[in-house]
Amino acid sequence: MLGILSASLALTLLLETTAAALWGLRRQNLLLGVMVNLLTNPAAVLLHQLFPGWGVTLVLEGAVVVIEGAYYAKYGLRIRHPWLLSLSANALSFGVGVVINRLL
Amino acid sequence: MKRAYALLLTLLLLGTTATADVLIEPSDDFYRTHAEECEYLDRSYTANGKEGYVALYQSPKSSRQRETVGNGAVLRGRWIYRGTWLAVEEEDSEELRGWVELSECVPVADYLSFEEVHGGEFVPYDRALDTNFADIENVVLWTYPGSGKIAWAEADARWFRENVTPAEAFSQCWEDGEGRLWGFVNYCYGWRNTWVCLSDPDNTDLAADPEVLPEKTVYYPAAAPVPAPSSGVSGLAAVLVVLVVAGTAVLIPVVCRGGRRPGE
Repeated sequence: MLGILSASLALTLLLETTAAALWGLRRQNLLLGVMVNLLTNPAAVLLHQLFPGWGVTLVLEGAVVVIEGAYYAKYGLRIRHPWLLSLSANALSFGVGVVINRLL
Repeated sequence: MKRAYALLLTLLLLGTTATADVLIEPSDDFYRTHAEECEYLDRSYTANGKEGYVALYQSPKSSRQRETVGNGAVLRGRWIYRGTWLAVEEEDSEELRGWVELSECVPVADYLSFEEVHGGEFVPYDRALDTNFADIENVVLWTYPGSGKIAWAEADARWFRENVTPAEAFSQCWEDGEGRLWGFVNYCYGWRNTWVCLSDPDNTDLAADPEVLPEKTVYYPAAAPVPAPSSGVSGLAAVLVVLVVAGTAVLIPVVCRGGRRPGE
């Protein structure tokens, strides 16, 4: 389980931090990006493990987008379209995760 | 048209899907995304884990166990993922129970086990045996020669006179230690992969011969009691996650104080 949590977090941080950097986030905003992923990813992976299924996955992903968007909006330093950033970054990492899962 | 809807509705209610060639497929998230890597093989297995039980997992990639089953229990499955994981179904339906590692199971002796051992001894059908099917009502279908297990005792013998000729029905034959000839039947009235004793097709009393498939497998004793299935989440992992989430939730407002204020 710890292996799944670590691998998932590492991949998410890599993808979403890159996405955030491409979005134009720098320094404190980029650090915020790392922290919001620390806040949401391990909990989402753990809950997915406990309650597997597509329905739960969709609810969890939706919750992650909302939480991260809310944090970007509240604690970010003039981040452009924080909700769209959250949606895009999570769609990217979710999509890559699905592809990797199919390949493994 | 109504029949087609009724069939579709029945399949939906059963929680299964059917492909065009009428192979029942499990209604399972993992199967759906890995169907191309799954091979169809209708076979039963005996649980034989080294710990005395086997675990049926949520998926081959999950550590969450749906069920644990003591050694000796028979597991039925039709789909095998990458040759290593079996999708175990309920006994009386196609509902998926979980995925089990094939290395922890032993196939129940069947036509494939028989072919593995005796495939080199198969001979073609002898038309002289046609007369054995001329005057009988039923033909007995066996799981394999010498198994002593009848798959179906009352297969209408007309199948072998009217639907197919015996020469067409019996693709390969085998002679047992007592000089009886057996024929392999790929399909008969819905039954697949069975054997008929060509020398005595309607006899239901042919005794089992353990010498045909000698038992070589080492069976591990069943655990007592069988442990409850694991959620796959260790206490340590759960505690670490809670600590990381709580720590980050506290840190963010401290580290990122310069965020937007209301009205900005």
